[in-house]
Amino acid sequence: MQPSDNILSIEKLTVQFRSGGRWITAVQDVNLDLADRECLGIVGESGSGKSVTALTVLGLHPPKSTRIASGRIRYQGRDLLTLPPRALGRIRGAEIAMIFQDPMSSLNPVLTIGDQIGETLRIHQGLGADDAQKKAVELLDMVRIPDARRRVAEYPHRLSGGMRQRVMIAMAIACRPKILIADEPTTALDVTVQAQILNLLRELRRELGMSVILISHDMGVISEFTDKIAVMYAGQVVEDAVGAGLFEQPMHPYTDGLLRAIPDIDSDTARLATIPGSIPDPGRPPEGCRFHPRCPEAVPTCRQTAPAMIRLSEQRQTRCPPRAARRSA
Amino acid sequence: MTAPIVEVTNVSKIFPMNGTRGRNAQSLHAVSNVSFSIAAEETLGLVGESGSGKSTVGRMLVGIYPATSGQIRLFGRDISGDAAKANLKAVRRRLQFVFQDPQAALNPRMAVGDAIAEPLDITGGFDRRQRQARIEELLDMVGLPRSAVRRYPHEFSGGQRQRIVIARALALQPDLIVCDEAVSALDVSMQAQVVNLLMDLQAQFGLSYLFIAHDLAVVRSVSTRVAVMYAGSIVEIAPRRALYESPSHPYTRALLDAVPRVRGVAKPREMLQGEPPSLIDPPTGCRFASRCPLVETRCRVEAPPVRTVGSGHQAACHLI
Amino acid sequence: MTDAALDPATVAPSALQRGAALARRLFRHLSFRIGFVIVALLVMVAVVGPLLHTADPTAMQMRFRFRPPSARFWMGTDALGRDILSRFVHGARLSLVIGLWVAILSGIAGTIFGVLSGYVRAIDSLVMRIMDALLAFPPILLAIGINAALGPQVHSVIIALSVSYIPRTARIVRASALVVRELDYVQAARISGASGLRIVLRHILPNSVGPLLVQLTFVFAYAILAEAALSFLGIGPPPPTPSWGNIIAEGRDYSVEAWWIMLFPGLGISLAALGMNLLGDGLRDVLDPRLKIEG
Repeated sequence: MQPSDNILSIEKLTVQFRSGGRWITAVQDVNLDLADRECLGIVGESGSGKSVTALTVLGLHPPKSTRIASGRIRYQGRDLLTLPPRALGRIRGAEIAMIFQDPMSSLNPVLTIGDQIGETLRIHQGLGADDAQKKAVELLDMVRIPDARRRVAEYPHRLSGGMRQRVMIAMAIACRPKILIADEPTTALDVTVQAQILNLLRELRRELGMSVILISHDMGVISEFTDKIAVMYAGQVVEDAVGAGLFEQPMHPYTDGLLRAIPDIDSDTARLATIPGSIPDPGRPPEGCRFHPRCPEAVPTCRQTAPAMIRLSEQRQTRCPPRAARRSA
Repeated sequence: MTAPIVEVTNVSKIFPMNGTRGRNAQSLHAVSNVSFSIAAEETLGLVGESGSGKSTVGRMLVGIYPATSGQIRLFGRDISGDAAKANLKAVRRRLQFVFQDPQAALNPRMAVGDAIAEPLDITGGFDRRQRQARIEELLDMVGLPRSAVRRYPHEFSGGQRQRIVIARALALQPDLIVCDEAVSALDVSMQAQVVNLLMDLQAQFGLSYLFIAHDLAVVRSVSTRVAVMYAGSIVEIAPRRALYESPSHPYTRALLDAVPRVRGVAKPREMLQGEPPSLIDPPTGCRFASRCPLVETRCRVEAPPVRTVGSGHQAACHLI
Repeated sequence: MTDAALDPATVAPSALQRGAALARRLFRHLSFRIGFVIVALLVMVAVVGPLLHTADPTAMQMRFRFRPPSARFWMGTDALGRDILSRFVHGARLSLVIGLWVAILSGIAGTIFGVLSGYVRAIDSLVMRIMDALLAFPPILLAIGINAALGPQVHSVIIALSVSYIPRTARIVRASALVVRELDYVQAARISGASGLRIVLRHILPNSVGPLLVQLTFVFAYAILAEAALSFLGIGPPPPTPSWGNIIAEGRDYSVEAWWIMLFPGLGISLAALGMNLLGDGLRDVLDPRLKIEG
């Protein structure tokens, strides 16, 4: 894979937060590539650092309590982390857009849908009020909101959760972004509405030629939607894969454990497999491999040496040396 | 088979809406004409999307809300009729509830030991030693160290807090526990631990569960039978294998289809359009008619009858 | 949220250790620290002052009228030759005593009304309308009325101010009661058959203490200000009892020539109110349960 294929590259990113007077590492040494028109899935449990990574791309962390200890985020030949705020502001929302889990808190309750979509257009494209309103109706049509002409004048509380998320998507695609970052976009929605929203995202991605980063805790959503998957645990990417290989043959014991712990809707399970213990305290990550205290396959070296990512093939990388060794043997 | 411990017959719940009075009074038909039963040592899974009324059903069962009409019998006693109060009091010890959010279910200013012992303290009749012994026994049961007794909830992770809530629910050795989205707020790895714990406790103490959840896969893994709710009504109820392998209501089929699969190929699915109807003024016919891919004229006019499609398998649809 | 809680080897901290940890968090808070120092100083002045500085606050020495601050009279003397330092120190005692009593009494009464109205919904609107009616009276006016009825004594001032501030504390407790009564842990207690009294004592009150305490520090500060205002108007504790308010009132006619008479009690009032407010701000930040969860 040539570097020029990538529209976005996150390189050796380490992000820290200030907590109780000290710096806690939320994301450590993360490398991710997003190719043009590709969909990258980041999956992990709470505290894995998946959302932090995404917010860093857009520079959305409070500067006082956050620091980027190392790394680069390359977008079209520029490093987003060193870009002046004004230049980043031009990219954010226009070229790289984002949608969140809770559409209600992302919408202003005292402005109509049309006003809010229009605002993005006025800021980034300098449209006048009338044009912005007209364009807002078009966008609502694009996200399949029925009766867009009437809906554009409504306030967010009149809409259902699914409709609000459609409005958020309309705002996100208003400026035809090259990249859409979706952070748990369907987690708050019912499963039938989730299917609608995922379908909509799939269609828009094709229509607009967007690249997408989809962040989710739901392996099913990730599996059905994405081309490339990164699994995060305790601030690190522990495994990544292109295609469905990750689900067929996980190369990290954490991925394996996670997949086994998910109940299967298509068969009767007698008992779920579990991962013992719980997620480590981000302030005190374990020595060596971060997963070793919960890992059934841990060997003595896992306790001592922090493993680096190991490339297994063009498609696969893992942070588990024992599994990598077994595979090549 | 012995008599069921829960018998719910034609139960409805209507909530008056705030701020509407007199002629403009509106009400929310949260649950309409729901019937089901739960046998001893059985888990009935209750699935549905938000607003389907599943949570209201669970709350009526433990007496948080009285039913507007219909009958709820617990352990043979009617908790919905004239003697509701006395009968509820008589069965209270045998009933417990586990909430979705373990954070909200525990008083932040109460030590874990006191939280677990609360049902004992309310019931009374335990001396200090018995109380202490019971707390320790309960902590052992849910896999928490005894040192938790004097700690406070914020010192524990989400999964551990849910164990504390479960320990509290077990304190008086209940026969029926209503689990309302009990594992939904937990991460996958914690969720599996808590699901297994609930299953172990059921095997050990012969508990019955009403397991309310929106996650169809979790419900399949814990339930003996499963009921599917839509817009306040049960549309289908069946033993779990029958429900998941041969669903007969179009809503159940669409719901199962909509769940993204990790394993196996994604099949092209027929997607459900639109959203559930308003329950302030529910439709007269089948409540699923507005979204049903198979809808016919009578569906919009006439409420569908409950039909038996197999052993213990019933569905409410005109087209079966 | 640590794994330490799961480790059977670690011992749960005792109530004393928890208290110490809370104190440490409080003292890390800058405004709490400043507020604490100011209030502690004033308390020391009020408690220890009269013992060290033995001059009689009411003794008139006509020879020493209108003396500016000097080595002998640190804060100068007033029109009757009384030692202002001595009067200041006794005034501090009175102010703090009044502030404390008002905080305690309005805290207790406010808690009772707040819980009643927040938990027993049937009487909520009645209690809250009474509170609104009370709130509609300016505290000073109410105090004048009560003072007129009970006569000018320290007691009447305390009662008058306590009554005035009940609505503030009642509202705070009612607000927490309204939130807490709907929480799942209260539902859980109800499912187990808990009585209303138990729910109030075990769940609602412990969770109202934080916000109430914060409010009480502000009530304390208001009471000091109000007492001064009452004394200034001549309806506070009767003379010759020294209070910051009446020292200022007596110095008013000489404010240009003998500025020191008004200056020191004025500073005392401002400092006391500032100190209590800073203390309250710090308490609020640290006791806020939303922040506590992360700790």
